[in-house]
Amino acid sequence: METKLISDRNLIVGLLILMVPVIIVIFMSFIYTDGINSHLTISGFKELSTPIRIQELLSISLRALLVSIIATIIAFIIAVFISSFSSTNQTIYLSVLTIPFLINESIRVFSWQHFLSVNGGINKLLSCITNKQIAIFNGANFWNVYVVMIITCIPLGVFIFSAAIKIIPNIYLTVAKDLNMTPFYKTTRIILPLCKFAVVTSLTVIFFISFSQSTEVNYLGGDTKISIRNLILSLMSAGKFQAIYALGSIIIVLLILFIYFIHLIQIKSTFSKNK
Amino acid sequence: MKKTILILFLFLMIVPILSLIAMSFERTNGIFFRWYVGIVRNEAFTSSLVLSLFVAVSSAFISTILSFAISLAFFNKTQRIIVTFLIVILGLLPSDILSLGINRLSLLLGLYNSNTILLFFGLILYCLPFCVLLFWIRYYFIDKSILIVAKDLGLNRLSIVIKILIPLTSLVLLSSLLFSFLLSFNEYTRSSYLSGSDVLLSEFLYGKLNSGTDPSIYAGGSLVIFITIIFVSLLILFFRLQGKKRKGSGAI
Repeated sequence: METKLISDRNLIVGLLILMVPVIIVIFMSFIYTDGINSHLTISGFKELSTPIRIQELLSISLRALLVSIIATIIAFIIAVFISSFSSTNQTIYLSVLTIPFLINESIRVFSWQHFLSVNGGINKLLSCITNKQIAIFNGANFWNVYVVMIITCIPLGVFIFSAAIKIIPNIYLTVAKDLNMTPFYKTTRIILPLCKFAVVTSLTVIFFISFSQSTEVNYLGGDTKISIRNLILSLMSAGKFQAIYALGSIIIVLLILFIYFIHLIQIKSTFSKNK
Repeated sequence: MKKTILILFLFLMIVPILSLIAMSFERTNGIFFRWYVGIVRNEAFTSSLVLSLFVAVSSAFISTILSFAISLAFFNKTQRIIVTFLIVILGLLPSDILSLGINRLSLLLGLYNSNTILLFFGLILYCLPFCVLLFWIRYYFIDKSILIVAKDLGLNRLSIVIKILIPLTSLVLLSSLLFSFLLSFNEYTRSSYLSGSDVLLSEFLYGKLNSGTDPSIYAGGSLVIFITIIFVSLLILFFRLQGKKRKGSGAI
């Protein structure tokens, strides 16, 4: 049913007010101002295309890509596991997953820093199991950043996949049961193809979220401190605010492309269903 | 097997946080709650906690009301696509960049000293996508024929919202309040860019945990964890009630 419970005018006015900071980010990426004079320029984009900035952005993007792929795979497996339990247990498991996601990021990252330190929980646990002195993890190991970023992003992926699995029509799962499909076959042949929309969403959402994560790098990165916040702070200290806004504009364009891509997948899937 | 793997995974997610709580209860000089006494006596901590609670409660109320209004776009395809743009851009644009956009807006408006307004605006923009999604998940399960019948019976938009949607989404309204409270209470990036001279709890904790000078900060961190766990438990309760209500009322 198509009905309008909010008028177009009210909605547009409301959204425009909320989007003012975003509009300013786009606008300021093309405007140079020194307080008195202002003119059109693309110097912000030029600054971002210098080799050092490209290297920083590539490093952040590659890290985000790796995190998004690993977190999506783990999140899918966890979501499939969770979906096999009763609805009460599902709610409990999903809610427990929200705790690390909702907790203060400084506390979360600090607790992981402590847990992954030389005398931390993981090394102690491994030492107990193997009866040897083990120090795989230490406070300034850059792999710790990946571990914590992945752990932080997994809940998001699990929520997305849980929602996607919940709306799979029961008939598919019943047929799978009638055909005596093994859980592995059921997951790869039925659940995964029906969740392709969720896979794309999870990959993209986690990519952008991990792209923005900086506290993990600041606490756990050791000597390597390449993060979006540090990049922004270095641009701010150099007085190159335009480059920050230019970066924002690029991300906004990428997000719009992402929505368009998702929309295309939706249209394609509706079309193939009708066919 | 599945259950064991799942429980191990959840345990791995939670155990570092629990270890922080364990450290806060370390017995020193025979006093069990020493660090808690220390942190409660710390004026900077208590004032930042009070300020954070005030900011989080206020922004939770405002963002819930706003997101409820915006979420009504769910029932119209074109409006839904437009709001999806808002959700994606506000939810995924790096908070550092968005905060600088808000700062720039304040300069354009000449609001040099009104930091609280900017902070509220930033936190509302942060909570909005999550809250709208919470409402949309509920709307997805509402039988759309109810709205058709209501329209046929001559109810106008406002009456449909007040007499049908609000009663059906009352628990989501509460969940949205709790969720946005937790998001605002624990948010660091926006607070650091937009709070100006005011120090919120997340900023206080970030500074103290980064310098690691005083062990009483473990107690401070644990207090924040307790608050979060209490609110998450309330959220679980509301989700359970919502599930029961949905089951009890059939398609609705």
